[in-house]
Amino acid sequence: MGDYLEALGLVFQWHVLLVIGAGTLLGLIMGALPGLTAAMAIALLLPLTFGMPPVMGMGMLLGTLCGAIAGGSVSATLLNIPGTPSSVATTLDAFPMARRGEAGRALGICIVASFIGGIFSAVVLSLLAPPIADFALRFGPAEYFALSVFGLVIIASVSSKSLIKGLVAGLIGLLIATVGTDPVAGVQRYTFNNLSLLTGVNLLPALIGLFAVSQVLKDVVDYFSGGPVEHSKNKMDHARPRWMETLRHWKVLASSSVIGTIVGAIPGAGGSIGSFLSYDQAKKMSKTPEKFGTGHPEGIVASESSNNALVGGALIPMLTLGIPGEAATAVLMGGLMIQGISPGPTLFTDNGSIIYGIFIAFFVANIFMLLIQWFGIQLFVKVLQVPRKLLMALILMFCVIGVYAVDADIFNVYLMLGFGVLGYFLNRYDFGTAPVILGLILGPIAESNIRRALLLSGGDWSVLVTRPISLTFLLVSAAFLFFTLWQNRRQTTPHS
Amino acid sequence: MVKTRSDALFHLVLLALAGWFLQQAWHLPANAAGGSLSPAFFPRAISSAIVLLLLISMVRGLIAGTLLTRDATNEEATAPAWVPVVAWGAVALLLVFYAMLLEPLGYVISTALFLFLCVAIVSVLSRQRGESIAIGRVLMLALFAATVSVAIFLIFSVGFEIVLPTIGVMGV
Repeated sequence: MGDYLEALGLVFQWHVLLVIGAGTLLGLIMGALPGLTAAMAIALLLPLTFGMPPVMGMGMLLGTLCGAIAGGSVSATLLNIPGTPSSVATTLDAFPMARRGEAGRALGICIVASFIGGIFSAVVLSLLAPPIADFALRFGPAEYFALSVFGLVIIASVSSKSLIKGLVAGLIGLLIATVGTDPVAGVQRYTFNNLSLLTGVNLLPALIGLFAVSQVLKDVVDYFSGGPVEHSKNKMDHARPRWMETLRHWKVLASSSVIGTIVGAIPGAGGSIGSFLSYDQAKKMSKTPEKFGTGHPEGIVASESSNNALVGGALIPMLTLGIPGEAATAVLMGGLMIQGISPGPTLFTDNGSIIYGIFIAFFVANIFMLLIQWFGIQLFVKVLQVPRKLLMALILMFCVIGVYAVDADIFNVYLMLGFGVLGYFLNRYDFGTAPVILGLILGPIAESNIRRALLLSGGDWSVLVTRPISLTFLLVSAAFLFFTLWQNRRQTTPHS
Repeated sequence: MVKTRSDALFHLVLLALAGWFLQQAWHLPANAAGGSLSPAFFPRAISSAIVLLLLISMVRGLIAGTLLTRDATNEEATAPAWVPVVAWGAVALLLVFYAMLLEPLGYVISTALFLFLCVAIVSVLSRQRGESIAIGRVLMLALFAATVSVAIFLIFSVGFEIVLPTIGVMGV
């Protein structure tokens, strides 16, 4: 209780609230723009959080994440292009509704459904995270190693179209994580007498390079390769939150929020899976399933409440176990680590006020998300008219300045460019970039823990399988690997 | 757009890089105290695994016939196939020059130059045949680049107290 009161004091200061609001606003703007992902939005704002206290910095990034996910509905509604992958299902009904001249109505439903989904997941996060963290306190070095393997296997399996390519991407991250001074013996590895590499590859240039620079490089190609970008011809009527119309579908709202939170909490499952599952469930529950896909409010409620509920769900494994489930939470976790805070169960015991501050900041971010959309939805509609070439140049400028500003080391800028090019090609050839970041984050954890575990057991590897929690993680990882391989094989076999 | 032929090339590049990391790992100390792992263990194990998985991926690609075949061209493309490649290369190169000139020219000048050239390159390459370049638009772009770089400089240095490189003339 004391921690909660202290946390309330950390969040309810005018400058902290202002920063959370600013993060939410920027997230909404970036989410509204097709091609700018939530992970990219967080990566771009990371450098600004450096001088901030942890709760303030994380509040800003959480606001960005909530905003980016909710903002995805704007282009989904007006252009039939999902602003973020999780708003793909929103296009199915919001766009047809907008074509009927009811874009404001569609966005009004999106606003309320996103808010309720987000608040629901925030409640679940606050209730479930502490007991999970409490359980995870029993973990020793063997369990942490097995958990790192589990996290890497999951994200490698779901982030790429091919399991082998996903694993290669994860291993590339692990290999890059070995650069620097070795965590146990203090030996220098791959440093080439470069002072900037002594402490390892800096996480910030890697995050910005892999998620922002690579995305803009892709946008440059898409700018010429794709067809002309369509501007919305849909007339905007009054976009005000449609409370009654949304709450009328309370069953869909409840089931989708639950599905979204659960799917978000399963590492690797996030993204569009939750909203499609909810959409499908809502269609099955509906008395008028034939109306789905024609601009039906229930479809919008299902998709939007679910994709914002995903955020709180995804924070559960990230904060309690240190396992981010997908790209955006991996970047968020990077942000937390850059602040000098390692996510995991000890965060709850050592920094109680910070973790509860993060929970409260997440609630506040959802409230800001509602208010900003309520009064500023027209702004996000205007954002869609900003010329893409100006946007690409501005984002690249922010990438360079953001990385340089942190420690005035130009080497990190070159490193970011290298990661940008690597990320572009990894995405282009379906390897994915999320496993690289997870490899980078989990590499030092995995290596130091396995070496510590073997030191304690006198070099006996059986320590990994004789401890039940460690064995469970390894078995689940193996099962997931085989399941994904079987699924890949089924998809590539014709007539299956 | 050609995709899968360069898929094979990208596999080869990654293979070469992993091989190089593996070769470098042999120079690391391979002894460890108390039965634990040596500092060389992880780099060797990981780079070997990458090499192995890349070889499997290449063999699978060859068997499936996807490694060396061409993708269908994009029907919606508004520009010839070489244009996106040139644009990509130009923007990537421009980023390198931006990084190189950031400290010698200071933030304001290098950023204004970067913004101007980046937008100009994309505009010129996306120009329709026969379309002329209006001087007014060039001047507008120059004004935009200069205004944005000065505004961002002030926001970062005054608002966030972040030190950006300057050439020491009038504080910029």
